[in-house]
This record gives sequence, structure tokens and C-alpha cells, in this order.
Amino acid sequence: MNKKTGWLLTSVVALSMTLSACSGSSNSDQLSKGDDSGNGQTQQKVLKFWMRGSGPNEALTRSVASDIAAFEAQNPDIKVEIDYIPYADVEAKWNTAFAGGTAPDLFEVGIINIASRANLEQFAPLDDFINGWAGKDDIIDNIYKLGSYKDKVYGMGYMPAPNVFAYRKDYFEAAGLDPNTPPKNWEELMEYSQKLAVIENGKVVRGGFDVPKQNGSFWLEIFGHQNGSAVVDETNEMPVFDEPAAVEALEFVKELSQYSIPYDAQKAETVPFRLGQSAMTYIAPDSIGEMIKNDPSLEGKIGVASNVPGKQPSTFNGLRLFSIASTSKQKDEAWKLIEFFLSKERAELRMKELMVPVVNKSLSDRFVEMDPEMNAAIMEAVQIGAGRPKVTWSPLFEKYSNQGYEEALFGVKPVEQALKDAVADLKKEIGK
Amino acid sequence: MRYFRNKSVFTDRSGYLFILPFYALFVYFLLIPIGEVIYYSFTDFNLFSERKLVGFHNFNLLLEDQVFLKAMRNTGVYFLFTLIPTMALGLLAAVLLNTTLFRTSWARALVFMPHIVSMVSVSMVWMWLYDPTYGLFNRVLSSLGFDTMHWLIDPKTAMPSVIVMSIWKGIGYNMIIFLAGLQGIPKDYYEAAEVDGASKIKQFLHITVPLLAPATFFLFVTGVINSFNVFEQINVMTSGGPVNSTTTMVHQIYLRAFTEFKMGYASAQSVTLLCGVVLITILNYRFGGSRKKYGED
Repeated sequence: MNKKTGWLLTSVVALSMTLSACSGSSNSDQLSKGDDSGNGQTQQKVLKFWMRGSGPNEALTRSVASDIAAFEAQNPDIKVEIDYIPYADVEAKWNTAFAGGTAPDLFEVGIINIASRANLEQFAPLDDFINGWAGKDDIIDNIYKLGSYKDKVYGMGYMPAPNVFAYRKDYFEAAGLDPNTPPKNWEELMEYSQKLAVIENGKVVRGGFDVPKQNGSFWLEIFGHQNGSAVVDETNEMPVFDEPAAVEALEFVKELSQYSIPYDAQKAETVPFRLGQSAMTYIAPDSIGEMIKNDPSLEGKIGVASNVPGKQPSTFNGLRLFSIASTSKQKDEAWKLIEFFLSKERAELRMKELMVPVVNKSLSDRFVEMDPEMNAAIMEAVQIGAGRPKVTWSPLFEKYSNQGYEEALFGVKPVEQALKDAVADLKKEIGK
Repeated sequence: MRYFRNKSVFTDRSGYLFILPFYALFVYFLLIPIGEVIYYSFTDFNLFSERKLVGFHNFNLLLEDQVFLKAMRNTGVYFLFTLIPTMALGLLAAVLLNTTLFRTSWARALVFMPHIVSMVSVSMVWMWLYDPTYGLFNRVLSSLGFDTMHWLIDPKTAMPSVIVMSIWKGIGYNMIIFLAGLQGIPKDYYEAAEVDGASKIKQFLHITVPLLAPATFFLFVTGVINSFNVFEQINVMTSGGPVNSTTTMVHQIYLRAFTEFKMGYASAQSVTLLCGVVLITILNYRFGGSRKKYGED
């Protein structure tokens, strides 16, 4: 190879690399599909939608996918591209997307995400869309409140996600307990746990009541609320999960944990109740449906109650919402999809398919009629339940409440000390 | 300037142009980001708002961050208990596979295979092996009459469990490099040693080990870097828990940067990690004898 050829070759390689590096195509270019050559066909708009969860193996995601297919059939000019984000990666994935300018148009979110994302102006206010929507009066009033931050609605709730108290009637019978009477208070919960747990060689081989050892801050919230603790003072944006009521609640949970198989709450597939390895738990109703679907012999063997009250009745009641990215160029289309999800027809289908409550006032009675025993408990759970804290530092709350919870349950520190240290660390980080 | 004008430096400019694409990519994708991270470590950069210089504030916070200090300890434990056994077992496997009995491509492929599988997949598989109820390890334990264990949910066993998996995955790579080194050692040395009456152990200690120094040095340096950068298996198998017993420096960097938006603080953690790796590499260069030739003192 002579010098000239070498120069030429190198220049070509360098030039092509420079060109390929600089030739970024805009989001809208990538999103536009279909023919725009002016031959009369309409351009298909692609709506990017990110949903939390592990994908089509979940009943809810399958239901959402069928909603989307129906929406696309009705709106051939819009194509919805859905991606599933595992719960553990939600914050990281969203942050990277917003920072990199690749955020989707529509998000499926939880209450815990609203304040932090609205505060960063990453979600668009939905008030104008809601005001111009004919179906707005059919939505339960509290749903708007749960999706609000600083008097603006940033998330449109579409499905309450309560946890109900579930128990195995067959295990109750085997232990000599009445299968139609779940525990009525904490004392009975402890007593039943003890009776239902199967312990061999000092190891729990079948749990009484599920208590996660790892990532169990959720349990701290449920039992904390039942014992009268606010866990987080949302008005003053202060963590208070070290107050005496929360400490007492966690001490009770720790005592209960001796009758539970240890597990990581973040790994849903390892929850003992789902595996038939425990007699009682708090669980989402759609997971009960999934259990029965996977093992039809469980039909009639799972009993439910809204909760087992402590000083007051309470359970977790989350809400699944839709939020539109403030960066989206297709907000109208995204709202159109939200309206479709919330339409009475689709909501009714979802309600029947998943046995979950919906946010439409006109469907509340129908829901209870479908399965009075189970659904009355679910509706009660929706009424008495509390959601995740709505604060701008929600990821930090999760981190430090888990830290306190784990240190207490593993006996690294006494319960009170573990919670006090966790709250102190959290306050330091949020500058309180 | 005189030096650069010297004709001998740019005798053949096309040579420099040939390596330009690599160096352009190196500068753009490695050198500039490293510089940026160092700069961010002195700011309060949080991804979404304007950044301000905060001096050494982030580094001062690091000294008080108990979780990061624990992550440093965990990284050290992981480094010590992963690197040395992996190298030792890799060497053992290489020596065995270099003997006539095991010198088959099947045997080599079998030992090397874990290395080519993605860490995430391997972690998922090992999570099932460690499963308290259905996992293979607990089944073996109970069939032998031992108590079963909560491998990944017990702070005492979580880190050792991750370490065992990492060793298993790393042996193949170490084996291949050592095997290449072994096959490059001239047979004459062993024949001469045998004539002089040296035992097999003496031959191994005085011929094999010294002549494998460059391979050992390479594996040590890359092993240190890999150990300090451990992340995937931690994130998949334990999420750093329980009670932060398996969280590592890179895991903390990831959490701080991508779940808490604290890019400036995470950059300070990254700079600390970089300094640690550079320091160990320099020490190894200085005392590791990588450039030592056989026969030198």
C-alpha cells in the first residue's frame, strides 16, 4: 500500500466515523413510522408507554395490552409501543430516560412517584385535559386528590391496588381453627401465627404469617398505620417512623417474624404464601386470582378480610396511575389513550378479568355484586387503606425505612434504635 | 516544540492517522468522561438542575457515609476472597488441562464456558440454586441430613454466596490465560531441571511460577479492576442486602446516581474508587515484578 492510498483510506474511515457520530436522528424521526411521501396515506404516530412490572406474565399487563390492542384498532393512526420496567429498576430507568431526553410519552406510575417527579417538572399537569373530558364526573373524587401535587393533577388513577388480608382455609382447618373466621386483632394474629406455623428442627418449614426479612418497609407502613403512626407526616414533609407507635408496631412485626419463612419482599416469586408455604399474608387481590389460575385446586381455599386491625383498621391501598411526560410531543394522543383506559367499557372488562376494583363510580356496586365475599373485603380495604407517602424524597424514604426495618429484624440494633437512626439519617439527607 | 518539529517523530504521518480513530474514540468515550466525572465530583450535579461547585464537600460527606464505608469494606472482602481463589483455581485448572490426561478441547471448553455466559443470566440461575425451598444446594444439604440455609437472605451467608458464584464464573478465564502462559514455557527448562534431579514441585515453583509472572500480573490487575467494579451479580442476587451486607462501591455509585439523582456525590464515590484501583495497580507494577525476566534477581 503506498502512502497516497493509506492517506485516502484513513481519511475515508475518519470522515465516515465523524459523520456517523454526528448524524443523530431526532426522537420524532425515530418515532414516525409509515408513509409520509405524500401519497395520501396518513402518518402513524407512535406513542411510547412504559409500564411498571415484569411484563406479559402478569395478569394486569396482559389486560393493559388487550386495552392497547383495542385502542389501536379504534385509532389506526396511533401505534402504542409498550415497555415493561421491573419495579426494582423504575427510578434508575426513569432518571436515565429523562436525563438522556428519551423519556416515553406515557408512564404507568404509583402514588409514591407523583410528588418527586412533579417537583422535577417531569410530569405534565393534566388539569386542562380533565376539565375538557366528558367522563370526569364518573371518577371517584379521591382519585384526583391522590394523583395531585400542589393543587395540580399529575397522575390519573385507573386502578386502586389495595392489599387484603388473605389466609388459607385448609391450613386453618388442619390447625383446628375456624376456616371462616380470620383473626380479628393483633393478639389473635399472633396466636394464629403460632398455631399455624410448622416448625421442624427449629426451622419454620411453613409460616404462620408472612413477614419479609429484606425490603420489608411496606410491612412497617401497614402495621405502623394500624398502630396509629403516620409513618410520614406529609403536611410537614417529615419522616416520623421512629415515633413510639411505629416502634411498637415493628416490635410486634419482629415477634411475628419468628413464625415466618424469611424472604425478600422485592422478589414477589419468593413470597411464601404464593408458594403455599404460609397460612396468612397481606396480598394484592389480583395475585390471589393468579394463584387460583395457576392451581385451580386452591379455589375456595383462600379466605380474605380487609385487614386485621391493631388500634385502628388499615391496610395498604395503592393506586395505579397514568402520567404524561412533560417532554412528550404527543400529549393529546397520550390523553386519548388515558381516556380510553378509563372508559366504562374498558374499566368493566378489567374489573371482571382481574377481579379488581376500578375508579368509576358507576361500577362500584357491580364490583361488589360480582363476588360479595371477596369484593366487599376489597372495597373495605380501598376505604380504610393508606397509600405510599407522597413526598418529594420518596426514593430516600424507601431506602432508609428499609434500612431501619432490616437492622431491627436482623437484630443488628434494637428496634427503637434502628428506627431512630434511620430517621436521623433520612432527615440529614433531606436537610431537615 | 523543537522535539515535535523533529522529523523523526512524524516520519510517516499516515501511521498516526491509522491509529487516530482508536485514539479519537478513546479520548471521546473514556478520557473526557473520566475528566467530567472528576469535575462533577466537585459539584452538586443532580441530573436535572444547574450544577454549582461545592469544593471538597462531597468527599467530606463520604467520610461520614456509613453505608459507603461498609460498601468499601464489602468490596475489599469481595476482592480478597474472589481474586486469590479464582487465580489459584484457574492456575490449578490450567496445570491439569496442560497434562496429557485432560488436554482435550472439550475439557477446556467446559471450564471456560461459564465465562462466556452473561453475568445476569448466571446470577439468575444461581439465585435458583440458592433458593431456600427449591434450590439445589439446600436439597443436597437436607439429603445429607444438614440444616438448610437462607443463603441470600442471611447477612452472614449472602456475601460468601455471591463470592462462590463469582469464583465459579471466573475460573475459566483465568484458566485460559494461564494455559496460554504454560504452553509458552519451553520444554527445555523442565528437561534440564529433571536432569538436575529437581522434583515436580520444585519444577513448578522454580520454573512454572516465575515464567507465568506476566500472565499472573495481567490477571491480577484485570482481576483487581473487575473485583472493584463488581455490580451485576450484587444487583441481581441481593440488591446489596440484607442490611447492606453485600452492597459494594459500584452498587452504591449506581444507587446514588440513578435512584437518588446525586450525580455529584456519586462522582466523588467514583473518583475514590478510581484512586483505589490506580493505587493497587501502581503498587503491583512497583512490587509485582511483571517485567522481570527469568534468571533476573
